[in-house]
Amino acid sequence: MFKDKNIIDNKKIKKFPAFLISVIFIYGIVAMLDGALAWGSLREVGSVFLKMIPILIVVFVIMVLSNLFLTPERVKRHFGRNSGVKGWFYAMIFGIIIAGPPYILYPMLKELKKNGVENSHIAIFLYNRNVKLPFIPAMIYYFGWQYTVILSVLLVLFSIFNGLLMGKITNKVGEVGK
Amino acid sequence: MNFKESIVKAGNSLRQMMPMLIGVLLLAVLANNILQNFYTTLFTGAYIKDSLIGAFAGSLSFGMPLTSYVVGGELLKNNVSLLAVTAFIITWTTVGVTMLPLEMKMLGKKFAIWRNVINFIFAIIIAILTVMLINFF
Repeated sequence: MFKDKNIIDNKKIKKFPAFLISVIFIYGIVAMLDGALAWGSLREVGSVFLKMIPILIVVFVIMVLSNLFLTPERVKRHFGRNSGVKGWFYAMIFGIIIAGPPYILYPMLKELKKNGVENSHIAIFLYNRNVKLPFIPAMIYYFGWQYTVILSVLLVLFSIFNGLLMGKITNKVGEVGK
Repeated sequence: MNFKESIVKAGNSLRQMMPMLIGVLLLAVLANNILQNFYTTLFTGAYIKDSLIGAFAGSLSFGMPLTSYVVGGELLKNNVSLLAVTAFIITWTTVGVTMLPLEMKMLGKKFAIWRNVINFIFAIIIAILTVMLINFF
């Protein structure tokens, strides 16, 4: 069964380069129009990617641990349909604590989804990425403490509305665990 | 699932994501670099228009929240309204147009599209509420 899963994954991998090739093609056009812009963007991508490696390692470790310990039964208990307010609370806290851009968190979230985490919890988790404790001092520096407190509270509050709406919209068609 | 299977599964997920990740990263950085040149001319000071443009600009851009604070701070210095800047920094993290193909692939098409649409609308509402509450206090 595990070998079959790898075959499916390999088929999916083959589909991806088409997108990458089209982006490289766009870069080619941009390079002809503005070489400095294309080259500067490429260097920036390289720099971002290097900075991303430690985060990718952390994400990999979390994914391994998630596969090991987050059994469908456990996940359903804490984040599943009957987890209620406790599940939302966990999703909020994890969203605030776990750092990293969404594109490296998506595979982890996909695994969690496979293990039974609801769409509403994933939506709450992703929304709370906006409230990052290490960046709070920077926000206070640029916008003041009053603005920071008001915006942070509103973001956490709206993350719940977000989760409720997403749950209602997406769970209707049975996307959970897809 | 044992430890070895768990590592293989996690490794496959990351490997599967890598070409898309690099493509999205290339696209997002390019879009960001092009848009940055227009940020100061896009915003005119109009209340609703600014918040909509701010939300659109933030939706097309991406990066760490910290970057949006720096850009937002610079926009404020250039007399861009707080409403626009707030919508901009919210959608910067919560709406990702350039990330949409990856999000659709990983979390489902319906989930990704609805999440981004709802977050865009919420960004406008939160921006208005934030400015109203600041004026109130």
